[in-house]
Amino acid sequence: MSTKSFSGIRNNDPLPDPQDVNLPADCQDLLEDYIESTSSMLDEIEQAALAYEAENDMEENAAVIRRGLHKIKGESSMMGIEEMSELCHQTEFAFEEMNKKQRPNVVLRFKDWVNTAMYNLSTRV
Amino acid sequence: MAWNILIVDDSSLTRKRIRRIIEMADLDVGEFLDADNGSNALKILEESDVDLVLTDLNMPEMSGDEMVHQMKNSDATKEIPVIVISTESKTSRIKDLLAEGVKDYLHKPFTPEEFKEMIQTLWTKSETEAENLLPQALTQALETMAFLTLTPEDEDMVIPTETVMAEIDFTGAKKGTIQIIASTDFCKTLAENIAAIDNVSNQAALDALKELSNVTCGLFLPMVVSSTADVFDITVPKVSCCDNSTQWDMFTSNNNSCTLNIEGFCIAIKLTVENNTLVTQDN
Repeated sequence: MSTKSFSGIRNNDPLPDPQDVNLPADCQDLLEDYIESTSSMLDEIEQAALAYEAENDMEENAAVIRRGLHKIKGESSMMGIEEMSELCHQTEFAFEEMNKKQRPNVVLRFKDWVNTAMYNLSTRV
Repeated sequence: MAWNILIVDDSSLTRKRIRRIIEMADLDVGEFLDADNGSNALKILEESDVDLVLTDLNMPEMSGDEMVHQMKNSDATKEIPVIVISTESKTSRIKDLLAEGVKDYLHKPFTPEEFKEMIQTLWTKSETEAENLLPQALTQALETMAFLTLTPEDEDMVIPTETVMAEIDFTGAKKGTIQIIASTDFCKTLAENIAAIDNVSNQAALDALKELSNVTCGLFLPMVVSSTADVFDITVPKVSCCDNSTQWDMFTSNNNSCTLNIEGFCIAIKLTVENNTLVTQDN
């Protein structure tokens, strides 16, 4: 497990630098698959967060967000990208702890961090 | 034996990664199959020979929990070992799955070493179960016939000087032969108990072994041909006599036979299955 703390997502404190995310050497050839899958899930999560914020189908959109976070957590974990997996874990907690007004912001902050981390990973390979 | 492994996960990336880790574990794996949810996995299980299922839990359409439930309630799939691979942290959910028959649980992520260790434990256990298959079936057969108390003891085995052999062929989705060889004394005791007669003729002893073979077969085959237990034909037992222990020695000298000593009388059984995909005594 990563030694970096991502609990900042739960109380709006700073998060570790997304530049520091590393991909294990034996997973380099799966990076393209990972980015494609994670980007697709992030799009779904973002749409659901915006709809949730607009109070449209809130239960259904909350389910989409939970499923997306869980899937990214699982894939990141299998790829050995511990920082991403830990951030998902903390975001899942944060989503359940927050009230309905705070939830979309947490999700969008999560999305921005992951997007930056993925960009950094892709430029390093 | 190379195992065919079915990987069930809604993430194609995770399926690829699991496959990669298994390959890195350097195990004897046959074919890899995969499915993106429980429902599709059940279809694959109907059509293919699968020796091990690795499954995630949270999947669309049909979860891993529901898939396991359906597998364990089907004669065709209930014996296939299932290992759950998930990020699930609810211990109650895992306990329920283990109670339902799941063999083990592996938390994501896992290393090739962790996977290898778990699979080796599972293989060893399966081999032990296979070794016990014949004695268990025989025990059940004898208990069903309710005439002897079975006490398998290999240590003080006495090689019989006169033996009788019964051979039964079975065909169907799988085919093979069950052979039972017993001491003449055992068969006479068998006949005394079945027919309640004192002076047993040689013919009665042969008939008694035929009777035992039929009952034993009825218990063997559902265990061996679990998915198609109701689709096989059994031939009438062919029984032959031997007046010395040579036949016994040949029969028991290979590793494919199972030898028991029932209250001082020896009995040995050999089961061969052609084109089998199950772990049996002859693997």
